[in-house]
Amino acid sequence: MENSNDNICLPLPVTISNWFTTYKQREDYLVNFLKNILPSSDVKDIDEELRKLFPLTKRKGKVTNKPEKSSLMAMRKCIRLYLNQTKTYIQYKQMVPLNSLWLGYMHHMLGIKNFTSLPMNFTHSHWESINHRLIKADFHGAIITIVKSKCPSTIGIEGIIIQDTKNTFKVLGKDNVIRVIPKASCIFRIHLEHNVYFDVFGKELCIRPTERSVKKFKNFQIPDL
Amino acid sequence: MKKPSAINEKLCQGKDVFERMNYLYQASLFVSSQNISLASYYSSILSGCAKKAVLRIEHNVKRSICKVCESPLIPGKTAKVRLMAKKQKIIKTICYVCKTIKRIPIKKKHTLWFDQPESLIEIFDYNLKTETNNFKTCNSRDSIEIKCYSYNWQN
Repeated sequence: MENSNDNICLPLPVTISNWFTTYKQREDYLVNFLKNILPSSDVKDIDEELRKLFPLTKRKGKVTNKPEKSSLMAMRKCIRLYLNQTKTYIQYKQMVPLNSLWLGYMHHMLGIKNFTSLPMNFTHSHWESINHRLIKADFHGAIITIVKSKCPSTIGIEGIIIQDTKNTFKVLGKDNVIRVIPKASCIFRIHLEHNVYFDVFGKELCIRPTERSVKKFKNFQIPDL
Repeated sequence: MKKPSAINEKLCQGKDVFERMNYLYQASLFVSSQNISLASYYSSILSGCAKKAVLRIEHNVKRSICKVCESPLIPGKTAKVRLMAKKQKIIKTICYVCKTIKRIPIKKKHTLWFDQPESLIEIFDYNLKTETNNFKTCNSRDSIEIKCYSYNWQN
């Protein structure tokens, strides 16, 4: 053991240290080599020639850190992606107060105390104005059932609307499952109160929710079903 | 046949869009305790409606929505609020969702144009006289006031 400890402190033998070359040694070797070979007229220019830099060898282009342009939209997309999962762990019981909040909004929207006083026939004087208000309303949080549709498996689905896109509704059922329903081929029944409801052709709702508040509607549309 | 109770004849421009924005803001505040991605979706529709109809969001509402991820900023739950007083007096709010920082400077004598009484022109009241049972379960506002501001800046 003692021998090995002594060996560490000792300088390396000369045979090994001769192998090493440093940066300065190499330069000196090169200068001496050039001085010996070149004619005496060119010896003065050696130092200047060695200082020259060639653009492609040593210089690197300036690295500019570009600001991340997509950081804002990417953040929104990342958050929004959680909505597309079918298991989002939203429970039906927790979303029931959203529906009562929506009913309060509809009271103010229509300017009516009770929903029972809604007009029943097209002969009524307020028929058109209320229809315009109903189409422009927001449907997040409403309870709907599907009455008719081209696809027979979707008939009878009931639940609260969670998301509203251009061509689909996302509906949270009572069994805590989110279902995606296409609008165009369905007739929806929207429940306001215990016995009050109205039926809507899904084809007329095929607009983005933000654009719906601005768009002008025609009075008559021919149903396609 | 009954007549529907008096539809208010006073017309305010973009009344239905204002009501829709009001509902969406309440909904996003309510949902934020359960699912943040839904809450940010609702308040993004809020700002989208305001852009489409060219109406302005009220300044207090606008300041309580995160600029980047558009989720509602509730101090203690989804945001952290600190007071900074080194160079400038600043209210600093940090969103927990996306960790962006929002700074609002304060001056002592300065008051916002919206808080001054001169800026108010008119108040529209759309009150419903009787309450239904559905109202009491949720904490929505019973009366909706729409305030009309003048947007001319005075120097």
